[in-house]
Amino acid sequence: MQIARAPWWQRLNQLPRLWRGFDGWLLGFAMALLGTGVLAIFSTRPDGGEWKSQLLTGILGAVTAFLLSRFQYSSILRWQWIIYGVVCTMLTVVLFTGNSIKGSQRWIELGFMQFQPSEFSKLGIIIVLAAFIHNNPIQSVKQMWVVLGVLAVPFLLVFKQPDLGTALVFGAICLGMLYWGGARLSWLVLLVSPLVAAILFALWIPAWICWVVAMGYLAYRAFERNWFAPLSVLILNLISGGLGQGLWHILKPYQQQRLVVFLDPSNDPLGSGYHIIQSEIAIGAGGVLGRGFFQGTQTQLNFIPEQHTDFIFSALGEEWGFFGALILLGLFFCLLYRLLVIARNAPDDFGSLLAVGVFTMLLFQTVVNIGMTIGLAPVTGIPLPFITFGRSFLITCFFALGLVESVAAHSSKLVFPNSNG
Amino acid sequence: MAQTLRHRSTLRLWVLGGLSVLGAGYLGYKLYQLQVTPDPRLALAFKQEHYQTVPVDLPRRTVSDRNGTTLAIDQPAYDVILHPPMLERQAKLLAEQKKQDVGSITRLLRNQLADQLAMATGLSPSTFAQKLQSKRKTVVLTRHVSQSARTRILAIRLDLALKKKVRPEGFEFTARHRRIYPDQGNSAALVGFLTPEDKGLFGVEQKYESVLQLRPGVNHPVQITKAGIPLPEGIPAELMANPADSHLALTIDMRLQRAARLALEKGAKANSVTRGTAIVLDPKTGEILALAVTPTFDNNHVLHGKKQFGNWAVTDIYEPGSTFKPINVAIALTAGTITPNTYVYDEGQMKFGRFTVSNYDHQGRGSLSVTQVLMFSDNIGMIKLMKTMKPRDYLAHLENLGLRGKSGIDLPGENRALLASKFSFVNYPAVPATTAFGQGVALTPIQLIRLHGAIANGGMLVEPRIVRGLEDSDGRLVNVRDRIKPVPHSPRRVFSPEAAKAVQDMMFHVVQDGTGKPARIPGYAVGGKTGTAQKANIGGHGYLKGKKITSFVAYLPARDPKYVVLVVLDEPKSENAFGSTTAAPIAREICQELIAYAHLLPTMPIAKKPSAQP
Repeated sequence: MQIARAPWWQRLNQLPRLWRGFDGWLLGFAMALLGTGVLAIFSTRPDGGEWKSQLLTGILGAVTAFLLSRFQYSSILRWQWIIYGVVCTMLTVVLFTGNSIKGSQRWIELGFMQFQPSEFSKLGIIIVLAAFIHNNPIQSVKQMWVVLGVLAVPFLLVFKQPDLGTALVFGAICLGMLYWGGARLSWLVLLVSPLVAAILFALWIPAWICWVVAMGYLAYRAFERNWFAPLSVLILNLISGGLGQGLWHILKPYQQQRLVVFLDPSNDPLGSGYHIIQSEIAIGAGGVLGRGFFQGTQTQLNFIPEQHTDFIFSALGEEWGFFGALILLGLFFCLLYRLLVIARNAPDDFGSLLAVGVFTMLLFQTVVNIGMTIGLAPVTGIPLPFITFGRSFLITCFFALGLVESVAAHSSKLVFPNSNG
Repeated sequence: MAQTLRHRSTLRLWVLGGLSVLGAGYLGYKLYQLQVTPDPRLALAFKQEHYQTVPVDLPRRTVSDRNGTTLAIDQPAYDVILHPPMLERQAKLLAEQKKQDVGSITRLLRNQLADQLAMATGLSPSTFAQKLQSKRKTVVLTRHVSQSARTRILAIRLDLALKKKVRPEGFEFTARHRRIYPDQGNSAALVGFLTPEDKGLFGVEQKYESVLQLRPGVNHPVQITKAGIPLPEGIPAELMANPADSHLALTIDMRLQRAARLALEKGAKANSVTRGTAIVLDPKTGEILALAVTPTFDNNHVLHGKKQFGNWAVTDIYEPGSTFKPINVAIALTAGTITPNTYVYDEGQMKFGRFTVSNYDHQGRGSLSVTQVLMFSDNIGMIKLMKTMKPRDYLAHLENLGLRGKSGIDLPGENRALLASKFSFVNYPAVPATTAFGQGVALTPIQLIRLHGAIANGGMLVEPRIVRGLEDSDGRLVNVRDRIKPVPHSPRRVFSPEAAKAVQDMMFHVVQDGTGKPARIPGYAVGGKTGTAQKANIGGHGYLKGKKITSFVAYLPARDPKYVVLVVLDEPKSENAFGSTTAAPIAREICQELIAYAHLLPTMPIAKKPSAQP
């Protein structure tokens, strides 16, 4: 009652309590990235309302993240199967009713707005896997298979959309969390080895042979007492050469085209290769210091269609140059570093796994997106976190940060070692 | 449990941290490669994308008559280009859709397309059918189709028994310009036409090539947007100039031109001439109001059949004969060796060595006034009149009239007038004697009408011209960098005003009571002079036997004329062909049109006894 009666300025000293355990750096880096992204979107679409929309969504997201950090994250542990159900339902719904954009269904019309369930499902998957691994720490290969089984349903649903990008993000998140959750590196390497074998088979047969031999040896070392595992790994790797052809045909024509073009953009310079070539030209034109805000000719003259979405980095690269790109990479690196610190100091496995899941998602998306714009990765429609225009994913990212902030706030060691948590 | 995971994770932490360092490092390294050590290939690609050499394709200026009526205009035309591989790919896709074999679909597609193209362009389907089967990557289907044909081609939909009609793929149109001459043969000899390479040939198209077609010297690299739209900066101002802002206005008036042509053609047909010309000159300004030539041609279709394209009124010299006599009289009057009241005696013939000169009717008329000499077109009288001058002075006067040079008209191919050499003119009396009645001197019809213009305007030699200048859409003259000469050379006095006036008066009498009677128009004072010359073998020797050039020059009105009309007919084959019988009626018809055109009022009482006219 006394507190309530005191004038507001006397109550200011109570504000820090509100911030207790809040990792300001984490949200700070995210906001810096958001600002950069808004500027880049403004530069590519000065006449459109995209940058305003992105900014408002970002601010809303930051506020949400702050509020989320004030809740006890571990309370969502018991919601894991409900979240799993929601994710699967959303992905199923989008598969049947979603609006089709360029050959794949990704959007759900929700009265006043559209949203992309696959973006939200990334966070859902992180929560579900974190909770699952928290309850069932990985101690054997069998447990790893169970985790993969949990992932399989949403993965296939996304793949069916088809949204290769999100499927790859799911895979990356899963690998990262499995590793953090106790899986051995060799298991994970063996897990992806057939895929690598299929690619190597298509590219260069001697490399494929070396790979198969190496994998066989690795499997032998990893499962000393079990002859079945190394044998099956060997066989899988051997047949995946032929399997690769089959996998190839699972892909949609436009996905095949993207892969072909990734390997050789000049294959289709006016079609799918166009984006890659133009993006490289733009970034190359940026030079060391860039052409300056609003000065990038590739950007300003609309040489890159839909540049404010997946190819936003090309605008940054052209207008801010190598210097600006390094700063951007630095920001991402700091953000990721904070996530690892929080993962390290998390009070429990669930929190730690949440942080690592978010870490993996952001790392993977950043590397693949930027790699895509400079011709190092195929065009897969993976947004650059906090930068690419896209409200669904931006909200997702801030939700994720909010959860991680909650982990940070409730960690005993981080800021207030004496607090009761 | 929590403790164990965290403790066990130290290594894993390093691995994950290492992964992010690796990712950032690799991206950073690649960006370094791309941005700090620039790839010349990327730089080149950047340049190629952003700069385009704009091929200069400005439309040619419009040519109009003095009232703005279009004589030549550029219209958009398109070359229709097909990329057969695209059509084949489409056929393949359709075949998959219809589950039919590619061959039959392709055949169906080609047949329908050929028919539809034929309908759209008005050409025969067979011309297209062959080209559609081409194995090349690009084929030019047809050239120079109109805007509407292009629209029709774009609207082609093929009915292949699918749900929707199919739009054929692989078409491309290159925009060009095509010169259209709405006035066709009426002004073809003045306007000229374009070669297939779009260079002007003959007429003002040739003479004013640099004014009509802006050709900025170099093709400039211009920065373009993605859509290929050039950015304004860096484009030379010359390229931005719109040739449509102004048009080249000629001095001719379509109405007069048409009247002159119709009158000429009628007369030419009646007298079966090989060629003819009718010219209307404004003597005060030197502006040619009409210049009709026969035979003429359609400058829209010059490539079909061989034709005479030049304008012989400008390019070909002839011996004018009696139409030159008034010039001589004006010379002598100006020199003061005769007066209008001078009388000469005509004995019927004169001998110059072995030549004998006689009048056209071989009769002597006795004592004649100057006016009578002109009225009867008396050769002996003319020789006597001109004998009053020393040959040297006479020649100096002729040369002063520019009879060894050009009139300076702005049409291509003008020839110099021809006079005897100074030596023969001074030493052989026959030479000035023949010159006195208009033989032995050769000039173009334009040069002759220019001299008559000098008499008509009171003694000033004015440069004839066919182009008024560049006019904007409101008809105001605009000058463009001195490349065009809207003002002619300053006029020069060649005859005294009194002499000019006297000759005008004499020529009125020629029409009123002399050989020019057929040009009389009741109520109007018309001056004129007939001409019936033996056709000289220009470039050879002597005269072409039995071949004549008849002509008539008319002044309207006779005193202080506003218009000078010259009609020249080459080789009239009709019976009794004289200037008075062949050319004068044509000139009369043109004068009548001029009266209506300029709203001239009658100044003379209409003769009460028309029967008195012979």
